Amino acid sequence: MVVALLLVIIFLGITAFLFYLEKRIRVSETKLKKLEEEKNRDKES
Amino acid sequence: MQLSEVKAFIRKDLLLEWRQRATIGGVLLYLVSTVFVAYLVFEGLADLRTWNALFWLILLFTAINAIQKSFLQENESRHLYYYTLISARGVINAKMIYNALLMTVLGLAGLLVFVMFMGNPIASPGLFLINMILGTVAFSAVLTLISAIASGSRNNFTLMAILGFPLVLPMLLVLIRVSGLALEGAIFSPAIPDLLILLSLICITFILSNLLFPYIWKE
Amino acid sequence: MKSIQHKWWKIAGVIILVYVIAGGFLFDVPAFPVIQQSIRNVYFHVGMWFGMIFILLISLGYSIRFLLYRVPEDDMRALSAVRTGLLFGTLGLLTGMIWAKFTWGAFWVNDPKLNGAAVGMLVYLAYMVLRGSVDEEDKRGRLAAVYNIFAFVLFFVFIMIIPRMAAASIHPGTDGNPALSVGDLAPEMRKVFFPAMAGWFIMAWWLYSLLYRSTRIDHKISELKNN
Repeated sequence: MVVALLLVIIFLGITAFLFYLEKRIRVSETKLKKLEEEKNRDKES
Repeated sequence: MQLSEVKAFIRKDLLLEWRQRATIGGVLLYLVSTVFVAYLVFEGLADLRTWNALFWLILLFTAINAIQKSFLQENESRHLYYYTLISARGVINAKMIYNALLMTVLGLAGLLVFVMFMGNPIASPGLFLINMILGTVAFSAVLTLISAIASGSRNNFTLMAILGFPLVLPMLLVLIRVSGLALEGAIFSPAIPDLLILLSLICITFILSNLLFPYIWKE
Repeated sequence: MKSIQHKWWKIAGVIILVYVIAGGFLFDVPAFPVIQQSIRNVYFHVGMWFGMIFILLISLGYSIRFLLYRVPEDDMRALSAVRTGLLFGTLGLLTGMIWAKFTWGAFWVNDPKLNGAAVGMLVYLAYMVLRGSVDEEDKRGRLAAVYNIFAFVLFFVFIMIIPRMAAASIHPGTDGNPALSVGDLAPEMRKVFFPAMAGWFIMAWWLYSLLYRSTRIDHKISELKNN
């Protein structure tokens, strides 16, 4: 019982960390997209 | 791919080997000295299992040393020249056949030296020889493509061993089992499934090499 | 709302695995000699191996695609899949070793299946070393893809044929599939076993997609810096 609870808590901790990482990745993806668009615009003008 | 270009390429490799006798001599010397080291350590004939394992280990290391140079012997510009002359499949098939020939000769020489130093416990020589020739062909089939992969990287000497070992290991286990049977004087029938496994592994390697090598050869 | 739509399968995976962990430890299991309570490890050990095979198959697919179309993204996908596969393989080995300690008395026993698994891990570690020692990007992709395909096929031929020929494996599943076949599984275990498989597959896919996206970001940043 205690072991199961402990493992569940550890597992939830890991998944929370993964969700956090995913958020960070999404933020940097959008940033990069903006940067690329700016660069393309600079080249055109 | 034409048969004639494969033949011509094999002839070119043979000629090259003959002109650079030092390389093949080096491999032979390597073979003899490892056998001699084994002789000094074990002081003559060890028990059958050790004899068997030692023989195959020495053969494996010789194979890696001998095949390593398949794509390193000649420089990049030479490869470019071949690229314009002959198809990728022609190159890999020629190299595989050539390496198989070379390894069979080396294997026989190795067996001779090994028997001289470590004694001859082989009870059924026919099975042993067939198994050995299949083994050397299998080694050269796998290691030729591996040497092509390794030649494209920076530290190709270490990489050859790292990439090759896990792929050769399964074959090595089968080979050791069959030659163990041969040492104990078995007849053919119990070894047939294992020999079939070896044959099918050779076929699979041959097909895969033909499919995959063109992607490495293009620069 | 949109983020929830994107997230639903991950949340589902997390819930499934919480259920699997809780159920795996708490539900009743049939009693077998020797194995006894350690049968619960089936939900974890087998799940890890299946997850690994699943993700390595994906890697194989992308390697083939890379050779055919030469899109750099495919190479990154194959690499991320191999990394995930290595993680799952390591976990599978660890859970297997714990299990082996309790049932066979040692962390490692000399068995064709176990040795095959070790060789498989060596193959993929070699794949990582190979990638580390080629500088040119396209060449690295091609060499790695060729090795991946070559190694995968040879390795699986080995895993499928040789333990069965040897017929001396003490690891279950000698009849073909490398784990318990469904027929062997007690009905009360199935209600945890099948969700467990689904959960580990989802986890594998999720980790792989995260790795892939971060690799792609790295790649794009270095690209932007260079021009």
